Amino acid sequence: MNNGALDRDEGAVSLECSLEKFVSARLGEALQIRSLHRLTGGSSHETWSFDVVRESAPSKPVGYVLRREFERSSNTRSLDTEFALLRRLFDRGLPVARPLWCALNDPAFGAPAMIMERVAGVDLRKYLSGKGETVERRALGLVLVEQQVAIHRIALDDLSDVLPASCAASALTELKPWTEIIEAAAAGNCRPLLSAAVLWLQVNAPTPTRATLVHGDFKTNNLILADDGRATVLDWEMAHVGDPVEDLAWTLLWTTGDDLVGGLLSRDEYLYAYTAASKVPVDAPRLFYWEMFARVKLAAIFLSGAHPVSERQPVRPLHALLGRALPVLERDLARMLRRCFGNGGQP
Amino acid sequence: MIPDGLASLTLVSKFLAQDVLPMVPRALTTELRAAIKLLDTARDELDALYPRLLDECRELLELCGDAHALLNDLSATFDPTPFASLTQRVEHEFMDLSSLMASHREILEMTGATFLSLQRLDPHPQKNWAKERAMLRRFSATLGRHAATRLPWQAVFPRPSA
Repeated sequence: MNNGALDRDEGAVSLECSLEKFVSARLGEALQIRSLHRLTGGSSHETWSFDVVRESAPSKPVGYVLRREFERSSNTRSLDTEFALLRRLFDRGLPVARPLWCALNDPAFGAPAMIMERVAGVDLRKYLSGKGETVERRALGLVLVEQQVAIHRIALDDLSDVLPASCAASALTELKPWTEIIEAAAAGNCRPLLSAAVLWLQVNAPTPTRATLVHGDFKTNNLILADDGRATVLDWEMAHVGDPVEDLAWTLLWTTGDDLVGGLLSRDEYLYAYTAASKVPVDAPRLFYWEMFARVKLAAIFLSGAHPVSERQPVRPLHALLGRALPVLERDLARMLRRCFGNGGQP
Repeated sequence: MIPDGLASLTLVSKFLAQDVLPMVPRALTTELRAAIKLLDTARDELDALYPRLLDECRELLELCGDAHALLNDLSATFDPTPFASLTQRVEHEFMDLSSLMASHREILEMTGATFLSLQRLDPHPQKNWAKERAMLRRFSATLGRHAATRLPWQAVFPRPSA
């Protein structure tokens, strides 16, 4: 909902004009933009919600969402790749928001942006934090695991033009961009545990086995829960072809009472449910590898936001706050490395 | 009483939370909440930082000294100059907080380089690397403990209960 006059800052007014021109040109008719407001959250992009009222259907406003990248974003996939992937998944009936337009260089938005249809429902994380024990948590958890399995079952042949074979990655390929961020941030800000973890991951990369589509950020605040109990999966910016265990390890990283693991299912229940639904057992050393990788990746995301791009663009408080959480990841990495160094270099 | 530096941070944080937050456009509330948490965690950090950094510097210097001796036995020679200069600074010179932080960063650089040198030896198959692995575990444990002391200074993940 719009906060009224307080939301009408200069940026919002200018964006409203840009959106009106952009959407009008694509729909081929005059229209109005209503209820434009920025949604909270998002460390790599900003998200704006708005309604489009077409001249031909003034009583039927349609909800849209604009996603605009931050300059400092650590995303490894370009927005047009993500857009093409979303379109393919939507066409195949996967539960994703319907992508409408992608604007990589449109001066109206000042940064790469895409517009999607707004999904009806609530952010699952917020829903869980508000509902407490009244939700059938275990049942919901199992539904989400099945959705994750469904993502891993998507035929890669059908995505080969969207995520080409060069993206079919080994662990080392996946590690590379995050390592580069960590190395770039290391000047004047050495993080020995992160560097040691990167080296361990480089030396101990598992051999690729089953390659699937990997969402890369499957967690409750990227899921919109509709009234019918279906969840729409958002934020595909880190999606790629890779080891599905990578996806599990990332989901296992988030374990508060409002997360899939820790909130809906225990760690063991989650892994058991995934194995039961996918019919593919989860290899423990492989999972250990990807759990260490998940912490390195998150550390790189935190680091990329916590360094100023330029004097004109100082670090935002949210990014600084995320950067201050690095010791949590380093504490975990220290435990994992101790385990490796105590056992002949293996977990 | 005039508020000191730490009390001023508390004061500004409360002012932002109580008087400013309800007034700002919704687009800014996430950033403002983050700014308030930054002030709160910075206050807690500054309150405890100096003695903690000094202890960490001493502990890391001792760790590096032991590791350098081990590495020198393996003919991977470390230049003793930075180690000696940092030890001199930490043990014998008065440092204000900024200087101590700069020294801590330098010691961390040396710690990181030493840790990686040890780790690079490890996959070598011809030797029983028990002593080196014990040293690697000591690096992990020490740095992990230092990281753990910083958990109350962040507000993204659940904080340890007091």
